[in-house]
Amino acid sequence: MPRRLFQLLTLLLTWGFLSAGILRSAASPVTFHDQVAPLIARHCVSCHRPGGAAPFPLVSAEDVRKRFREIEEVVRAGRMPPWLPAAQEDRFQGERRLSSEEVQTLLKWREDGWQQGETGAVPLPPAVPGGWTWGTPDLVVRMPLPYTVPATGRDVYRHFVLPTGLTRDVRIAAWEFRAGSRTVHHAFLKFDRKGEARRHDAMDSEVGFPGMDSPSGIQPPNGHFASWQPGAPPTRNPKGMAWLLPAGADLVLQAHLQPSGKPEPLQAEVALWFTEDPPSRAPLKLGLVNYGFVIPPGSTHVVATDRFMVAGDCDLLGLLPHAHYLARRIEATAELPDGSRRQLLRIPDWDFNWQGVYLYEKPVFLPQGTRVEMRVHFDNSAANPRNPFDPPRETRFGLGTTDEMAELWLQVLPRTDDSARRLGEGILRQTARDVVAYNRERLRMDPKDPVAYLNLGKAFLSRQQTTNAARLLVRAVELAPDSDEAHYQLGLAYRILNALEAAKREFEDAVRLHPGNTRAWGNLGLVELDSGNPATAVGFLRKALELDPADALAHAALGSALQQSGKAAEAIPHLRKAVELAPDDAGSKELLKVLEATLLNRQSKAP
Amino acid sequence: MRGLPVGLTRRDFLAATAALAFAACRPLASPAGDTASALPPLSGPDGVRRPLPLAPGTRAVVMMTLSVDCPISNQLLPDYRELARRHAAEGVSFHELYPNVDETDAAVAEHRDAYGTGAAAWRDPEGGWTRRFGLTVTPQVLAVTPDGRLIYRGRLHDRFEGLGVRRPAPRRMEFAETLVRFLAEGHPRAVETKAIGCRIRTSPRPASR
Repeated sequence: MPRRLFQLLTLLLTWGFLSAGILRSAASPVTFHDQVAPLIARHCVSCHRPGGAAPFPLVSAEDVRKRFREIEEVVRAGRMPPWLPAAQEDRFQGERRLSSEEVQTLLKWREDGWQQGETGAVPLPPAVPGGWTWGTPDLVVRMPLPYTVPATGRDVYRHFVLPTGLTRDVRIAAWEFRAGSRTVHHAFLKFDRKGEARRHDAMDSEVGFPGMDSPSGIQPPNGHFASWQPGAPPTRNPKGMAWLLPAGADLVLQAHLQPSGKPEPLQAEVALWFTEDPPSRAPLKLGLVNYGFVIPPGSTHVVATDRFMVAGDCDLLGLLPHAHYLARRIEATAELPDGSRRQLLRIPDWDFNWQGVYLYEKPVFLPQGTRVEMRVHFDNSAANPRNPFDPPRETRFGLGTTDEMAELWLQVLPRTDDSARRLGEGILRQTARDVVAYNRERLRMDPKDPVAYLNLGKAFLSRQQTTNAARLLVRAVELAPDSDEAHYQLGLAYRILNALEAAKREFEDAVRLHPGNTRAWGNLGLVELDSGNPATAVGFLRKALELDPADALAHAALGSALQQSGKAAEAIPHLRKAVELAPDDAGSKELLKVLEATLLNRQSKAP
Repeated sequence: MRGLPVGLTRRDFLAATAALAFAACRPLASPAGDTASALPPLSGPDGVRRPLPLAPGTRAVVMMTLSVDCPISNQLLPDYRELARRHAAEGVSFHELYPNVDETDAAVAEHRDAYGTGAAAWRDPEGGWTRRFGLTVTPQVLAVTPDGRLIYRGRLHDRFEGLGVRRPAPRRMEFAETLVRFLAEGHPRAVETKAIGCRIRTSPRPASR
């Protein structure tokens, strides 16, 4: 056989075998067992399983087949699995997105005649012993009373107080949320150290209190997000990044509830796992917020933006975008110091119902000098199916369900202590700016809003613009004469302005209105000290310490007052405590040194 | 123009005459204790197939399709029942229809234990109503006259824009508006809207008993 002919035959035979294989592969039917069940297990059964968060299971071939037309509609539209961000280079943990190949596999299962293949259902996630992912929790806190989610009506946005009963500070390594009801559409875990949530709860006749956003004293853990969505795995913090839950703090569950058609009792639980490991890494949260946008009715082009200059090298761990119903697109980009741009997040079809936290698979490095930008695009036209008004109405920032918001929160981990300091300062500047913008917006909505005057006054106090602060705080006191906090802050402004008599009156009003206002008692003591009345000051400072034995400033002031009253021996333990609590307090250190030396000298001279 | 009351034009006169002629020709409301013989029979809670019983003076028969595990029909059920409560005294006969062929009497009974009992519940295992009136999803509202003329077929209201697309609250109450207009005017206009929900699962062809 000539060599060329041999080569040709070999080529033909090879092509024949290969093409037969390809054809056989293309022709082999999709079966439930081999292709569909693994796909459903990957993307669906975390919710669609018996007892799961979704309203029906997708476990057997029949379950999937009988709902196939609905499944087809929602996967083609990208509405299921629920995952808002578009695909991008920097991937997020737990992305729940069907690839186009997976969608084609599903569709081919129908074309191929719903073949079962081997028998068997979708593999379910393994059962967790005792029901909690990481074994027996250190603490399980539960809503003390059940709340009944109404059968129908608008969605319910409600906060629930879960007292922890903790008598010591603990660090939370992991937490898990158990809704116990399919009505919970998403939830945020926050905490409250000052009883603000309890006060709101007491004002509402039902269990919990309403609100799409939380009052200012109710905050997520410092530097962390704590968010739950149906199907999302429970949260374990990276090593060295446990968050602090202070003694006596209440956990507060901010829940979005969807009526199901029948009244449903809700009594959610949160399991907590503690760690004794000291934190070695302290993440920070940066907020990009816009309070000043106006969205005219019918408008489709309003974009709320905000920028943040990253003042120190850090790794971006995750993002939390937030807006209400008129937002259609949310984008976050980073402009790096070399001028290049990096997409951090793009949500092409924002849906408030499926909001959540997005943590990167690999942290994104943001060098010092990076500019992060948020853009929230609004659609206030009648064509926006989520527009709560028909006809559309002018909409602005606000906390109500039919108001709007534009926020993007970034969780970053500074690379060095110096970066942390720089970033912290940047955050403080940004926060002070935001507090002013936010409260000005509140005053625009209600020119007699005492809380807005109070917050603006506090912001100006922290900026050392004390005269302006005093002017605003006088107005806060006029509008809310029963607010001990307003009197206290005004007293503080007067004290800084050295108007001691006026300051004293305000602090006296504050403790009359709220005898537990530790800082007001302490400041009464400081006013008396400044007025040359150390003996009177001692009484007020002792009262402050009775209420808060860990108040470093009160210990320092009491030490000073006792020393001025000729009671040096009594002063020493307070000064020692002040230095222990606040090692940077040079004044207390110096006075302690002098008093201890004097005491020692006296003792040495004693017979 | 002589012979006409003052203020009436010839066009008014013709329109009134036509309306009277139409009213005279259309079927009368069902008499006391009658059943809607023009409508297909349905299976009652006991599983027995029977014609739909209608109270005397019934002007419209309204069905909303339900499924035991369709979250959309479950969510809209209280709104439908509230509407039924409001219009029950106006000669409107409200019913709840479980059209899925694979849902058993026991499953329906369990669903009604969980969601309460509103209007009378029926199953349609033979698909008589589903096919005749072109019902496709749960929930879907169908309103017909006792002699089977279409008043309305479609969504209860527009809370759902698509599967997974939900408004904070309904903007348009299309069915309620149509019903009110029908009760005022007395003649059906066959209004149709697109219903959003879970596909009805029917048997491939009518089963024989």
